[in-house]
Amino acid sequence: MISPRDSMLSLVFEDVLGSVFQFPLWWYGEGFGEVIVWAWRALCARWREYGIALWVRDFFVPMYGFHDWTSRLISMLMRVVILCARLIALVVEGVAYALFCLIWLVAPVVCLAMFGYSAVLWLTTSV
Amino acid sequence: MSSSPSTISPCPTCQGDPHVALTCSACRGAAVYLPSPDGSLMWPSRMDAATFRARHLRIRTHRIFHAVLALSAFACVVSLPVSLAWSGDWTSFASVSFWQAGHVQVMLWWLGWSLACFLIFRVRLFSDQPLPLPTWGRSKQAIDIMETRIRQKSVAPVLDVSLHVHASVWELLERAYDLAKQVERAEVQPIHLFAAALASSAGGVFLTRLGASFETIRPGLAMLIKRGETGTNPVLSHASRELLLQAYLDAREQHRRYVGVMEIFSQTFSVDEELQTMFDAAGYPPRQVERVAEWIRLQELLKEEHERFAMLAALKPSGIMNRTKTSAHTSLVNQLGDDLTLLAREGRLRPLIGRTRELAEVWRLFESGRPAVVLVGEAGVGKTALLEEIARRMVEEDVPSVLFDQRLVSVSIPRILSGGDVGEAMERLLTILNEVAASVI
Repeated sequence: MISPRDSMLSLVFEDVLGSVFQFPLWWYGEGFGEVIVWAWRALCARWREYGIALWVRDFFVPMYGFHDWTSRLISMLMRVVILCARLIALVVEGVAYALFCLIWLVAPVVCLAMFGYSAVLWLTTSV
Repeated sequence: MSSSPSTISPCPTCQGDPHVALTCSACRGAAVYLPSPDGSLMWPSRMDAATFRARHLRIRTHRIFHAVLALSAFACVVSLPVSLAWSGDWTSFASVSFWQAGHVQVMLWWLGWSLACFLIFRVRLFSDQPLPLPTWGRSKQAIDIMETRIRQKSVAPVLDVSLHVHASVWELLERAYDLAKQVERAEVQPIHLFAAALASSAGGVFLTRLGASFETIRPGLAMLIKRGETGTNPVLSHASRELLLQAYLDAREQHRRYVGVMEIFSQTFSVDEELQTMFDAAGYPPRQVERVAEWIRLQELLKEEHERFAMLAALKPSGIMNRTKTSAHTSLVNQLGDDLTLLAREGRLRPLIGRTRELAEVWRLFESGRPAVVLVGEAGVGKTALLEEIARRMVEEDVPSVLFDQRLVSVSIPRILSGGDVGEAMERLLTILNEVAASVI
């Protein structure tokens, strides 16, 4: 049972002060997991929007219902171009998400380290 | 209204007594547990004025702390560009020596970004947002996997239902507590929860939809809330705890995101026979009350579903051509038909309620290779609604593979016949059929 006194103590020591210690654990555990899932879902949505699996499935089906050989050939060439463009776009987006995940990993460490370094420099120069 | 067959089990130490449970170290105030596919459900939160005050204080403290963090992070981060703009020396920003010169703004810049990281963590973990139900937004397959994992555990995990209730439920609980205290009851009974639910915004919608005024039911309700033992400091009764846990199961069954006020309202009404009699005497039969409550829940569910549908619809092409451009140009079909998939994508078609058996039959026929399905029935039975649901499912791409990346067009005979003689109409019909045939891969 959580009594009012316990909840006040929990507010001060757990929610406010304790969160400082909880921060790195969450950031590199659950938080990083959430970012990975978000990036993966966004990439899956883009894969679905581009319909890459469908373009591969209909690779030999002519476009716009034109069934003569010339149209078939043109359709195939167009499909190659579009598939390549979409795959490149998907890879670029994938790299962007990977970079974001990387930034997520290094951001707190770099920011805190640089803050400490610049604080020392500031103190040294001001003294 | 649904009710779960699960049976409640009291804490072995305090035997589920709500007063003894206040000091029970085994259940820490939960008193009772309800087995569920998500684990053992419990409601540990205490119900008294001090707890509600502490909750308000906690929420307010978090909000103020987050606002201070956000302002500090913003001020620290912008101090560097502002000082550079002030001095007009933007070129130094790119030099390494600038970052090593010991400027206070550089220190604040890095402090600002560190605070921003901490703020992200705080908002994710310490905002007053409830947690969505573990099953929300998951496919049936994913839910099956999750349930199997829980079943395989030797000891069922304990799930705190109070973490999954909407903020409006906390307001309801507070009102119910105040009401029980006002009428000097020893326990907060389900009827107090019901009365508090009626006073909520959802309760107002319920009364309006039912065509009842609060004054009509007030005398009967005033008598019912005075049932039970008298006392000064009410605690959450065994029945109320069970009701909250059952409301969780109900919300889970309805694929809701959170446990809301209407789940509690429906559960209370379905278990309290005296309440049903009171409504019946006031001229509102229980079935009518249940239907209105279902209607409100359905509206809430549709709102939640709309978010999901809008997200999936954004992935569909916005034109008449399919994704892989395999369909032929269909000028007459476009001219005389209504593209239901496009209308569904734009959110102009209503979702179908029920008719799951008929829809499953349509899918089964398409999957078995039938080229066409004919829907037969009296006017008003829901043939058009079924078609519109098929169009919506095609937008969601939750359809058999034969309908994947296709469009559903509705062509009406009066439109083909209008503006010409019968011979021209027949010609138009044949052209439409030819265009459709040419579009099929």
